[in-house]
Amino acid sequence: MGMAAEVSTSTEATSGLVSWVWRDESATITLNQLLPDQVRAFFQGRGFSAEQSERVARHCVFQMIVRNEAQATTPMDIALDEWRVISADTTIGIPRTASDWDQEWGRLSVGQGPRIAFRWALFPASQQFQPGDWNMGMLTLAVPAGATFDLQAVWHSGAELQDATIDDLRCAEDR
Amino acid sequence: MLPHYRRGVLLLLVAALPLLAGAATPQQTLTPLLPRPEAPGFTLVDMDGVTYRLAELRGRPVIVNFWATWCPPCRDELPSMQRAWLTFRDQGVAMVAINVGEDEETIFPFTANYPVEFPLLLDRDGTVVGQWPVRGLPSTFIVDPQGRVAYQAIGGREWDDPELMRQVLALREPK
Repeated sequence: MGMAAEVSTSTEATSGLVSWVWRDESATITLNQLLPDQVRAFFQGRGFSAEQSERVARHCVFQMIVRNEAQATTPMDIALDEWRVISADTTIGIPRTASDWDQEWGRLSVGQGPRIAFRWALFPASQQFQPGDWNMGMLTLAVPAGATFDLQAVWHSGAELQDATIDDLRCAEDR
Repeated sequence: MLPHYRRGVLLLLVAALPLLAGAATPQQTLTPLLPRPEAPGFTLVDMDGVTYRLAELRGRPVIVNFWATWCPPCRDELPSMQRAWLTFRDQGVAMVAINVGEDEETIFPFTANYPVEFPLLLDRDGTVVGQWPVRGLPSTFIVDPQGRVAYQAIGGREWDDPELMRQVLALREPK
């Protein structure tokens, strides 16, 4: 009998930011709230203008960590376009991917340096994790600050499709 | 534009993201690649303008790490890479860390807090990282003495772990 999936939350004492951790015996998914001002500061520090970084800050941004915890050799394949943002039992969106953002940066003539930083700061649109592998990156969702929603995460373990739903995720307030 | 004092606080919060990450304890796995593909190679300069070519490191295992200063798990693993370098550099192992998308003006002050002695190479336009199978930072590849990728590690590791480095050192033996 495997370990049942569990979700835990914690609040960082200094910032008041909330983290959610979903885990079972095969995987861990951590979502850390980011303040819109943290997002603005991060991207302005990477060469984006205030107006350009505001476009990201208007999204709900989490710092996400995904880890393959499996003891066997089964890889974990993630494709963010299979993930769903759900509110009131209705799918309201999927995560925005780096290539989607890059088209926007292209239209705005954003420089190469900021675009490289952005591409690598975002969680990859698709990635394979071997046991022990993990990655951290920003997850951008077209959901307003302070909103609450459920996130259905999906991945493939070999031929098996697995999913995890994290209920009542909350975007950080714009404070 | 954010006020200066507020930006300072926010940059501290952004710097504290590893603390928010919490669960990011590295697991000490290297994933073998079978058959071993030919490493894509690189010709890059370090901060002093010295040119490094992967082909010139043939004949010994090479640890090729991709990183950025703003990437929390990249920063976390640099001290263990430095310890591994001090321990194993005289045992026929080479190590390079390829910075993705940043310049000397960013990296040089960073090294005051993260002093390392192995080469930090500059991939300013992201050309080299695009030629390797990198999806997120940090990613590390172990190239065997024949110039083939023997192992990969996605996400940070403790590189001075003797068990992990045993696999790297074993590549010195002819196969």
